Amino acid sequence: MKASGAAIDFPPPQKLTILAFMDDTRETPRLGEVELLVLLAVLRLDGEGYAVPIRQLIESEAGVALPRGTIYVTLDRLEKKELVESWFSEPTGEPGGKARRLFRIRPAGLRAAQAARRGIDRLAEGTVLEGGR
Amino acid sequence: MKPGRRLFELALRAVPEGWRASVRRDLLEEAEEERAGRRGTLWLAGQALTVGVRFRLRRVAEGDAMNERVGEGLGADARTAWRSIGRRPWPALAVVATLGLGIGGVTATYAVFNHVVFRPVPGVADPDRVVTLYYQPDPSTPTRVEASLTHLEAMRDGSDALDGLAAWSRREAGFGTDAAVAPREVTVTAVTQGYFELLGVRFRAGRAFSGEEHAGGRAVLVVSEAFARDALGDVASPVGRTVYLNGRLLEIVGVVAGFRGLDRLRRDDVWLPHRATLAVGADPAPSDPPGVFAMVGRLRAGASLEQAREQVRAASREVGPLTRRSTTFEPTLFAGLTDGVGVTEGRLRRMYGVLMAGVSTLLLLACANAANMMLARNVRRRRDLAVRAALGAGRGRLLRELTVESAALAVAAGAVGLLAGWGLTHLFRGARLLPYLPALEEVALDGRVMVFCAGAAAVTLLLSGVAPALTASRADLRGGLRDTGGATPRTGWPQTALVTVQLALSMALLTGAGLLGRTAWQLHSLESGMETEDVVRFEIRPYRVRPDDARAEAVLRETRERMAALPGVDAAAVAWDGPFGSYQYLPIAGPDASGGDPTSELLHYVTAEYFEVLRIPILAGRTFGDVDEATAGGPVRPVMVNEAFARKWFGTSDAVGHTVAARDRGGEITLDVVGVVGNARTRELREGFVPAVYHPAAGHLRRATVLLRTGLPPGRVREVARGVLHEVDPLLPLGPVGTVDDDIAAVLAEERLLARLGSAVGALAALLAVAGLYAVVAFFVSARVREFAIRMSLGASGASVATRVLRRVAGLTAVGIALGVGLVLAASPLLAGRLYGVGPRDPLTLGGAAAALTAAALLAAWLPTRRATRIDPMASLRVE
Repeated sequence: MKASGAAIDFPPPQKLTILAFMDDTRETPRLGEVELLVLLAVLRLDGEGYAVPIRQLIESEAGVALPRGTIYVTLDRLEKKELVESWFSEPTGEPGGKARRLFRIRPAGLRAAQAARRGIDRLAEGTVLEGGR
Repeated sequence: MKPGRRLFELALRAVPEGWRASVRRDLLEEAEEERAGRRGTLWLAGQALTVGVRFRLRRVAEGDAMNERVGEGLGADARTAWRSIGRRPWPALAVVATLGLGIGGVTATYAVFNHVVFRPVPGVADPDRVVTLYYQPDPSTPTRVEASLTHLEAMRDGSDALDGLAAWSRREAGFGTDAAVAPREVTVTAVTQGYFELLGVRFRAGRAFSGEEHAGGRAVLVVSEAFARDALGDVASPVGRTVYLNGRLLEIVGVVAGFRGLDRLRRDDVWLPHRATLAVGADPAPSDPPGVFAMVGRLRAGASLEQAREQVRAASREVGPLTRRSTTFEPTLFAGLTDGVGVTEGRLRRMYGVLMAGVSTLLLLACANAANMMLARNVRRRRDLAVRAALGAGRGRLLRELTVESAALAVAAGAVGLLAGWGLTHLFRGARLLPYLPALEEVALDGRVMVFCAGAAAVTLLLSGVAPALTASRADLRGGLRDTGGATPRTGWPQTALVTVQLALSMALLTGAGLLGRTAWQLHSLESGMETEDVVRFEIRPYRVRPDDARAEAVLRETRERMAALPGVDAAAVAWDGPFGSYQYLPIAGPDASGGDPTSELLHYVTAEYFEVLRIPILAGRTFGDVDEATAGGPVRPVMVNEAFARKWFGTSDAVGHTVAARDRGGEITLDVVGVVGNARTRELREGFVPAVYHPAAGHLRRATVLLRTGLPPGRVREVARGVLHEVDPLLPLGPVGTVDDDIAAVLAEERLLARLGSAVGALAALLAVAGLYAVVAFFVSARVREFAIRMSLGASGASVATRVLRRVAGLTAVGIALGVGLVLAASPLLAGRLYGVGPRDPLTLGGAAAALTAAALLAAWLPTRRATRIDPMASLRVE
């Protein structure tokens, strides 16, 4: 991008990266970057996942501080795409301790994550990235 | 629930329902656990709102945008607008905040004045057909006189264009629920037959006065709901209860719902049949039947105001002409309800004009800032727009999108404005803005205020959004695309012009504020001619309680003597009123009665100690003695005059022994000057020393103020005065207690309020203008990084680059200030009436404002300029 005042808003270069995430398995939904991060965090938390630890995990492991709202919206979207599922926890007795949504990954989510992983691996093949692993 | 928690819950409403409980619990957990310490409810509410907004926007990361489809129509425009705002949220937030504050300012101003001037009077049915009637020489001369009850009845019965006509008048009276308790002073409104009926006042309990009660002058009361609740402890049951008014037992027959009398400023609480005022002794000048002054009527459906005017005039003439001092007064009808004597309302309207002009200018400045930011934003987006145009978006489509974007910002700004307005009016809640206004208790954002706020937001949208959108949508397609090489977008003339206008407006506002501030200071430091420090005054009204003169006179004398004898009280005087209270006039004919038209001079009824209490020096002669008090009602009156009076009427300051002819209540009297005192300002601060006559108080006090020179605080004086009054006469109510300095502060309150608000508005305006200037300079510099880099790599020094930038800023500022001076000069007739001791073109104030603005402008230019001088030429060129 040029340093002049004319910031380029179009087209977003990320689109190209995301297209590379797509696997050849047709039915696997494509994932955005944020979606992938959240999905991985849900997977890692193994049924204990809700917004607060998910956000902390992404920040501590991936070094990305996502806004809280983003976590909620992404979880909502992942659930609509049937990649994760949620249920309500037992309410606690304390004030404000009403039911909270907990998340776990569904098979389709796992497939999507694997597909994304494969995409990254293939792209990294033969580069310094691979050597670093 | 605590307010903070309520705010949190309110913010949570923005979150979709399925998520709300979860988000609430998560945020509460985080607020508790955070390492940085517990977080407040404000954080909670803010987070909840952010989450809610994210849900609404559904835009998570750029990468997710691919899941959204580009649609058609307004919905798509709105989405595009949101995306575009979301991409660069900070400038958008700045626009919303700036405009919001501006809208909030005008909304709050309107809300306060809506409360005191514009809103309909509560409790009056169908106020459009209500008319007001006074006896005046003509509609434009607001000198008004009392008419007789016969006149009123003739007009009421003789005009079929009116559905009713009634008179009302206020009196003070001592009110108590128990004969043994010292009464407190309340305002009683005496009304003639048909008053409640013609106004359509509804009754919460009981009834209005019956015809019999009106005709016989039976003393019964109607009270307001608020009074029943606050003073009697119950809304419904007071009907049938008896209370004491001026020591007489009266029955309450009704409680009205919502109605608090006919003006917005003062509230009526107790009503009495017109003829009954005599029976309770609540009349300063008893006559039977009492005269009528302010009248209110209702136009019959289909009748015109003109018809009604003709009919009441004819009916009044049949009774007989009303002539006072060779002027004939005619019944004069006005549409609607006008405030008691029209003076307060007039003053308020003028205040409103000045304030609104200031706040509107502020909003205008905010609009200019917003427009400037939008322009800068659109210039940055030129390429984007050009690409969209190349892909087939027509100019209309682009214009629509840009306008929708501005509209979204304006709506948000309107919401922020309403919130800010609400907050500001809450700041005013319970505050007495001006001494002649009751405390603002229920300033509400009613429908009228909402409409006003929406209007302000719409104007804002037009001013700040549409013009930039028009210029942007005209963007040259090929030019925009060719820009990719990094050519510098130029700051166009609209931006420069806007900043210049902003500077000019804030220059005008700063000067205005400076002038008002200097006026307040000048008035404050005026020589008053007396020493008002440590003077406490309180009011007593013996006539309200004991209408026989001799007894009242004795009560006053005894009160004064007992107060003077108290420890800590140096001197005590009794007068009609203290300085800056109410005053009277005495028509002076000249050396003898044969002189032409008499001239009215200021008249004070005082006891001898008045001059001692206020430390007004006696320049010649003596003060009053007991002999003078005894002759105070005779044909030759011993008086004291001030120096101005002596010079005007006798040509010398030593006027002792001179006499002058005067007229007192129609009769000829001679004033015999026994003493001359120094000039003192007792009526208005703005005027010079005016001639004044001091007349012995004995026999003339229908109202009385006790003035004390004492080191005791007013609170302590209230306690001892209550004790003294109770001993003198247990039925004597104690009026308000205060210091004369407070009264002077009250006289200055309007000036002070204007000066204070003016400086706030001026400072905010300057801040806005400087922020606008900063933005433009920053944009100018960032757009020319390449140009500067080239210059510097070719050998130009940092200083020369800085000079280039600063020269431009200096030019802009100079033009702005020059325009501002022009504005001030053009507006000087408007301001002149409000100023004292300083001219509207005062060079010192103008110079000060110009210097302040220049300093601020240079400061605003300094930061971006420093950036320009620190460019590393190679680095910036390499980026290119």
